[in-house]
Amino acid sequence: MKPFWVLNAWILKNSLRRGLRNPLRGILVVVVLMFLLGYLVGVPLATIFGSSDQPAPPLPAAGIRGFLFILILFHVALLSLPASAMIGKNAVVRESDVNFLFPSPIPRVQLFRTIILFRATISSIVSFMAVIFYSLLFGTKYVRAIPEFSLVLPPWFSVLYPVTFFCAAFGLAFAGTVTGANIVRGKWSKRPFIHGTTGLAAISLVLLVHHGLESLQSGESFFGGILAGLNHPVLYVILFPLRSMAEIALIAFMGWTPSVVGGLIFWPLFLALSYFVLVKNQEWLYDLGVHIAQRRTAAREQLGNPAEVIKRWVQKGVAKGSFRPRQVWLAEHWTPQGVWALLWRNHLIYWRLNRSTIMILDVIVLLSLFVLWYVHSVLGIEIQERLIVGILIGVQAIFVALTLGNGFITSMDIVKRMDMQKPFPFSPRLVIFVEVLHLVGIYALSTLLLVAATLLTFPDFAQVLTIAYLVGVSCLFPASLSILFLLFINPDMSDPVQRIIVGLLQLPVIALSVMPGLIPAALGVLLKLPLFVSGLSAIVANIVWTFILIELISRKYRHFNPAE
Amino acid sequence: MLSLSNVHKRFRGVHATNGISFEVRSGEIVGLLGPNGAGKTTTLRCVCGILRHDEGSIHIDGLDVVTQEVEAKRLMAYIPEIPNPYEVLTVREHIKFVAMCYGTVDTFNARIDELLSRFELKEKEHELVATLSKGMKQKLAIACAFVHDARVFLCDEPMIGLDPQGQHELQSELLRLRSEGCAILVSTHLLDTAEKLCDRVVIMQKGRKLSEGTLKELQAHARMDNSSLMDVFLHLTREAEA
Repeated sequence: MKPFWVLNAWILKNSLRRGLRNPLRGILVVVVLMFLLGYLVGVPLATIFGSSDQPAPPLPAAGIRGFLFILILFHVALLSLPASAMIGKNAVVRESDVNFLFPSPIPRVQLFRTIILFRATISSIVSFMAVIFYSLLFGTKYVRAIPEFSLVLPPWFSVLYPVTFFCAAFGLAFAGTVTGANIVRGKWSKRPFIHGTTGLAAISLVLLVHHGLESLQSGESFFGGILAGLNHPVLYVILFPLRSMAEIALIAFMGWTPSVVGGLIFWPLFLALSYFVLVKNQEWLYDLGVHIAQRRTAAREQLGNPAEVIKRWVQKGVAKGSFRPRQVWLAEHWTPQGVWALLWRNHLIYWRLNRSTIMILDVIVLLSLFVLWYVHSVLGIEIQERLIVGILIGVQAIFVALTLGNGFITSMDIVKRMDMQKPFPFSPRLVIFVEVLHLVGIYALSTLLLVAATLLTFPDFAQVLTIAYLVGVSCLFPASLSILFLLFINPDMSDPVQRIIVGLLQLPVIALSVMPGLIPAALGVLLKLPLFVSGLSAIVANIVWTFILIELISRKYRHFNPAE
Repeated sequence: MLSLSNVHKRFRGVHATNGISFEVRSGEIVGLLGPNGAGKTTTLRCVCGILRHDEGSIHIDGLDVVTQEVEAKRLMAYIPEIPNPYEVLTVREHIKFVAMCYGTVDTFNARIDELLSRFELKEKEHELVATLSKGMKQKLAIACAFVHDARVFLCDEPMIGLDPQGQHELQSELLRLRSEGCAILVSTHLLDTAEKLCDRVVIMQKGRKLSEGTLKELQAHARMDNSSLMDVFLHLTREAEA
């Protein structure tokens, strides 16, 4: 299997080399590496050797059982990854494996075992590290509290956890492969697995919530009830695989519990059995490989090429008769010329694809406002300000997420259709401005209805709401531009390094891009300036920052090479 | 009408085009030939403004494509090798959109029915682009090139994906444009077509211009009288490789 290891090493090496060759992308690669290294090394060190003069953190109220519950939830995510090693964009077999490795004389089981061991291990380790990373990042206080629990066994017993974890991960990957192979050959049906998993999840949820509510009724905490519910016999059986992993992770504090002993027997046996069944089913492995490689390619294409997603979606809709090129009133009656034609095109495409989503969201918001108004004005019940603000913030967050998600798709589309769009007689600055104007316009118009309705229903909030609306709209310009900038530097989503950069830096870059606008607003609040002054300074800062970003991005656009 | 003078384009130090110079005059079809990776597409992309060349100059009817980018682009029509039309627009809307970009909606209104018929898109005019086959998308891209009064046509492998009828129609259209005084630069691997269609050809290899001229001039250059363009092309490129 040497060629396989060499192949993967080359892919990673070439992707990194490609990343470092482009100066801007190289900086981002270094930033990402430093970010990861800094946290993966720095945070644990800070956690362990944190300043000793700081008081020891208080023990979490839920005690070790709280950790146990959180670890069970973690393992749902961690173990579903290897189990789904043969599904969707994360599937471990690729088209290139089918074309080049399958015809080679490497025995099937050996090939599949290596593919699973390598790729499923990598993804499991990455997920595992991500969990540790985020636990340390956001829960340092609680992680530092762990040593406060009394040790039942020497700490080195914890080494049993990674060993069991990889038994579980490989066992599930092999079992997932066997299941997939039998589904592809038509021997098994997918339905019982889906229904079984959903049913077990539903039973667990109902039982846990039931225990939580019972606890509330008896005057205790909801979470305490849920923790107590973990010992319910049915839940114990259903959650045993996950619970055993969680308890093994905490073995030094929990000792030799039945779950620990059971898990240490169960998972190695499961691994051996699933491998045995994999060997028995080896003749079907290539059929499965071909099937999942095709599905993976489709999923990957969708990930990196929104145009492809839209095309497939429309083709499917047209074939079923559910998608028709319906007319859009504004596009019918408005025929702008020049660069504004881009706005016309975006408007037409957007309304054909997303009209129902936006309308449903607006209707939900208006209905909730109507209910609030009815409760407040007709029934005379006092409505807390927090409730209205909460609803508005929630809805705005959904709209912002939708807009930025749409911004990602629009930006990818600009990158993919460069050959089509760039020969048009427009200056790059205007093109960038109009593309972003479309995104912000959608947000501004969609939320205008909401803002207007809230103003009419609760006029006391008029000033705050109007200023917040305008600041929000102005912030979306730099936020949308930042996505475009990131994608111009990393346009190829099939390149692993570029994908990691975009995935990891997307949120920090958006957050950074809105800072110039938010700093004056925050200063205004600190200096207790009138709200109007703070809001206006934020809007002005955003406008200036937007023009600077447009200038920078239009330069990237001008020199962008579609062959990248 | 179109002139390239000492055009260089580098990608991380590698010369994709290395000092290319040639002209396409009004009423002339020039073929851009070369093996894969010769720099044909890069040259066309530099001309139409998709890429910015590093050195040299490109002029369209006297307009510099860098300093007078927008004005120069108005005179050009580009047919890409792989068209990526907007799937959620209908065929008619797509052509209208391109006309709107060039500010020529009146031209669109006057020509649309004729264009749709000529490129066999009439039956599909209200269909979404997503439902078109690869060849029909190519025809749509070609139709889009005719909604403004371009004087320079840049075609990157325009015959690929077209059925024989479509190829014939496009060739007739290019000949008509030539007779109207347009300058046409066609990149192609189809040497038979180039021999019949082009007044002159430019042969490129590894970013450099190997040779330029009419078939007779190329035959003389290769000392291969009465040979086909294919034979001359193979001889010149092999000789340069050696």
